[in-house]
Amino acid sequence: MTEKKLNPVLSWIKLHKTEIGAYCGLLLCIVLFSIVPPLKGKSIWAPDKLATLMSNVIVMALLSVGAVFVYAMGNMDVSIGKQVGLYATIIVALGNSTGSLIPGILVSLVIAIIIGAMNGAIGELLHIHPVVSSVAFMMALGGISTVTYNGLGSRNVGLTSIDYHLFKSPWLMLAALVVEVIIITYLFNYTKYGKYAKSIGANPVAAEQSGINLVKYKVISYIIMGFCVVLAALFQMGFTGSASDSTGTGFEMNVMVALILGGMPLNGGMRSKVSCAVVGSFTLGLLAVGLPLIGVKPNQVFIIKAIIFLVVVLITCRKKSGTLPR
Amino acid sequence: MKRKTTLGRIIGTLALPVAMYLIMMVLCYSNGKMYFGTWNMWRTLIVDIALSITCAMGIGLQFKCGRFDFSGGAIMLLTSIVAGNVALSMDNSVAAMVVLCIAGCVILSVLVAVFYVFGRVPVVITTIGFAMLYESVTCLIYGSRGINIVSNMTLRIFSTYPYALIPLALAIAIYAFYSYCTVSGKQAQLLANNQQAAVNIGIREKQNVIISYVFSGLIFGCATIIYMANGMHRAATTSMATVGELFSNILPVFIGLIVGVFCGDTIGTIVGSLTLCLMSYGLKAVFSDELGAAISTICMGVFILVINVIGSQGGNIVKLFRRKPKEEQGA
Amino acid sequence: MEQNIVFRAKALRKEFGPTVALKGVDFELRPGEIRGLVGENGSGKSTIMSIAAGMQGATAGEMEYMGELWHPHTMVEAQKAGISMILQEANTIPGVSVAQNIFSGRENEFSKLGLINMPKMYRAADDLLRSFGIDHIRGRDPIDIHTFEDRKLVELVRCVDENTRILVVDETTTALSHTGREILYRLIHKMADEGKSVVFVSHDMDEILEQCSCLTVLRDGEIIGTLSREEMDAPDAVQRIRYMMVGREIGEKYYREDYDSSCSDNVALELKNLSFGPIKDFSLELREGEIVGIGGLSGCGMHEIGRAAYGLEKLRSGQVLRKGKPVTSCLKAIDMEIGYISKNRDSEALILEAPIQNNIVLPSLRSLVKLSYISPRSEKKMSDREIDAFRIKCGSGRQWVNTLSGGNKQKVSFGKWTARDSQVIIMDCPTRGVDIGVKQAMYTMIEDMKKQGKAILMISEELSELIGMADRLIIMKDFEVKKEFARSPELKQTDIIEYMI
Repeated sequence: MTEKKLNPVLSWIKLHKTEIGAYCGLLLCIVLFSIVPPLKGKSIWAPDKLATLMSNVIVMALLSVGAVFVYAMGNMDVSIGKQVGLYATIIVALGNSTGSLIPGILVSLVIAIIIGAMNGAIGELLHIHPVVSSVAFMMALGGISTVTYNGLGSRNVGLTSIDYHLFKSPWLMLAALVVEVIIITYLFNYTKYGKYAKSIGANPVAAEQSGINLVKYKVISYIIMGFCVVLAALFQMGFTGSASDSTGTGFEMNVMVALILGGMPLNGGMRSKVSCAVVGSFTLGLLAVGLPLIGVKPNQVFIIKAIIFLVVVLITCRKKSGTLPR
Repeated sequence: MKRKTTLGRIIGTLALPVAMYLIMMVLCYSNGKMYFGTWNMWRTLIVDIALSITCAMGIGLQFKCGRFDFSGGAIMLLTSIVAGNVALSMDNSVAAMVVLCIAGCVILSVLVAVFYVFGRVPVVITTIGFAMLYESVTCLIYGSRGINIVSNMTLRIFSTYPYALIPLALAIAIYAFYSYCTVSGKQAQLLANNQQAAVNIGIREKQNVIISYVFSGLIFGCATIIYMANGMHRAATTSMATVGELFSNILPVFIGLIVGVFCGDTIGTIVGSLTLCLMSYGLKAVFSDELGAAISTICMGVFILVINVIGSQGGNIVKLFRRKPKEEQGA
Repeated sequence: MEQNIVFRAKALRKEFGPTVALKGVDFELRPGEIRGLVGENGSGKSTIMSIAAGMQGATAGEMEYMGELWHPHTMVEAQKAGISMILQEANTIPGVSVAQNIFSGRENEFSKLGLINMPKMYRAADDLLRSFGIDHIRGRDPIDIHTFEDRKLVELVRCVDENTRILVVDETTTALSHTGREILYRLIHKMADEGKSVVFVSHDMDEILEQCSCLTVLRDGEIIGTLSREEMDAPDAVQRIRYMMVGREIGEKYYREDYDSSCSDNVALELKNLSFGPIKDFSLELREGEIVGIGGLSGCGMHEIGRAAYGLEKLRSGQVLRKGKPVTSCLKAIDMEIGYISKNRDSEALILEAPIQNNIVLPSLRSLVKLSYISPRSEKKMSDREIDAFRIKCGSGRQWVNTLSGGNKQKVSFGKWTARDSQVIIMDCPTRGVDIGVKQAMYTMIEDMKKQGKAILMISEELSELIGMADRLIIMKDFEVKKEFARSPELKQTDIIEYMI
């Protein structure tokens, strides 16, 4: 077979079109929301708007960055929403009884390790799809949460004695996010944990035959994500100082949407990047904050998000030829 | 392969629901709820079972073809809001409601199929996107009031016994018809098991997918008829609210596949729904409504795990049991 | 219009984006011919016939079939008109019945108004199977209960009926056992006697020379030439065909030239009384600096031995020992300097959707770790070293493996283990699907490895390769060792074949 010479620029674009699509989306949002609102007398760059943006984004961004490890292996975890609710409740409850947030955080970390280990190991040891075990956890945790709140006799619990206004500071949120991104990027790109996770996602059989202990490294990836979930739960609780039965509902879906918008391949593998999480979360956050500024009514924001999502995936996720994608 | 006797098949099929019935009966009676097992219970339960079966069949049809469909819940919600409000405005016309439910679900399902087939975007992403889209539309129409016809005696006839059996029978008939009697259904089986080979042979994938979504749309239509009146449905304000509801209906599909070894997946799915509804009802009766629902959710979570393990490891578990008696004999 | 030509292609051209698979090919087929088609990977031999059989369309050119213009849209359409093709990959559909497989795509013949009549289909399937002399398969059976070979037979039944005028067999025989091949050869010759035509696409030179009435060689999307039966019987036929396939003299040296089977006395790997699956009590000692070959028909158990030697199989009894320590899992195997190249190259040995660099470096990552940090520069250094040593044709180490040709992919598999400096390498079908020129280079590499004192276990379905390379050749049949041969210049294929069958 002979090959015709391909324009190198075109082929680079083809190879990276998902990332380009994601960044373009973000850029478009930034440009749009910088130009239009001032015409209406408001600005997205005003400090209060930026603070709202940060608070909107922070929990989802913290979750998504951690989820990169699990999605890179081609798995989805639908229990993280309920996990956030559980940890937030624990932190509040223990905070009220001990006067400090630390015990709650420690207990949550332990539970996160256990749940992460189970999610990672069950799929591999029992030969079922890991999503199934995370669905089981989602339902179990949801039920447990309802039972607990029923027992407590109220719909939510609030921090009574601890001063939590520190958590409302957008600077702290930004700092936490930056630190997490740095740590996760290091683990993902420069240590064997991330490299193994990507290899497992790309071809688990070949990964095993090349010396990767599937159970061990799957468990490690889930545990890494678990730590990020605890951090996210901390900020979720910190913003309102309370937790309720419905805290965290639907978060896993938001994470999925954010990652897809950011260009993360759902099958994981070598194309997974931490930037997908950041770009996707901020795009969604900008849309949520910016659209009202350009005159979109609150109940129209949702449909615009949905339409943008469909347009973006149409461009980035298309499978060019052959059989329909699964 | 072991040949299964008719008796063996019947036992295998009924083992699960009968066991669940007995467990719940013991639980209820020991807690003083003597109305378990009475005709009244069945009257109330039938509606839940009908809803569960129809939803499970809608999801199951696509699941058998290898597609995870997240949009079913949103389709049902949107269709019920539209159909309900229109029927209300047309002077409580039942006919209009039924027609709109079925037509609405079919149209919305086909839209998803068209996007999937021509956009060539993976199914999971397509259906998530459409779930978001349809949910967002519910916030825009009718002042995002949603629909609430719990008190409307005319329109809610299909969520009462015995009328709920009509859409149920219809849904089961459609599902069985598609799977066993249509060329499209048989070809869908081929596509599901070896996509590349089937396409090489010349089976038209695009046509097949769209037809399958027409059928699953019809089944969801039947489900919506019951769903609509079975409580109040608000417009979806939290993103992906309907997806969580849908997840709980996937369990009968799994049970259906396992039990289906004995009786075919149609009856298997019915058995699965029956079992879960019995469990849910029993738990709600013993504990309070909310607590019971929560505990039942926990049990379902465990159930899903166990069912999947059995499904993939079934052969090994059987071997484990077989080896023990042999070893005892040898020793 | 010549009455004698049943199929003709004129200036047939096929492009896949920038790649040109067929460069305007003219091809003619006569009734009663068994035409062999040979060529390297990418020569276009499969592409021509897949276009004729309706699997894909041509970019340009036209075809005539039975004197009329021929433009099939699907394989079912082509089959109805009389051109059928059996593919190499498993083309049967699991999870459904045999009858559904046989009549896949033709369900409409058994239905009215979209409603299907399954009993009618089962009966038709049974009749058809019996007409082929296949009694042990029934239409109602779920196809999963049948072996891989029986499934290929079902595929054969699906493809061939009274209407079939041209049968294309595309690299199918590798999957079949001896009996299966006999059924296929009987069918082919029966069809030729009846005045029908068969096109036999294969890599197996011996088989083609034996069964075909004439032979066409392709290279780089063009037809180089056709040999008649007399030319195929000539003593230098193989040499000539190889020359046409590659386009240059590849020289006399192909396999090893020496007959020195000396090696160290140290045992590098010991397989002691292994029993697992259908294998009972298999023992083997592999010494340092030795190449042991294991051969046999596919399904004789040799591939499983390879997997077990790498720790991938759960043993009922017996042990795999390296330097006295048992190898219980492939992770332990790697730590003990054992490497394994699976025969399923694309699905098990390599991560296709990853850069060459990542693949090469993967087994050795642990050695690159410095306080949890793995520097990209050290990765690149390691992988570049292997790319140079094996002369892997690529733009850079960042290129993805699925863009490489078969031969280069295999080089990457080798590179994984040389980067790790593995001392025992188990290779399963190391040169399958690799072009002749690259094969030659690989044999040289394997010989170098032997000289470096590495121990090599070579499992292969190509007898000539084993005869040419191995110090000791073990032939397996029905999951046990039938005979062991020592390296010698007098060793011929005919000596060995009787033990394989």
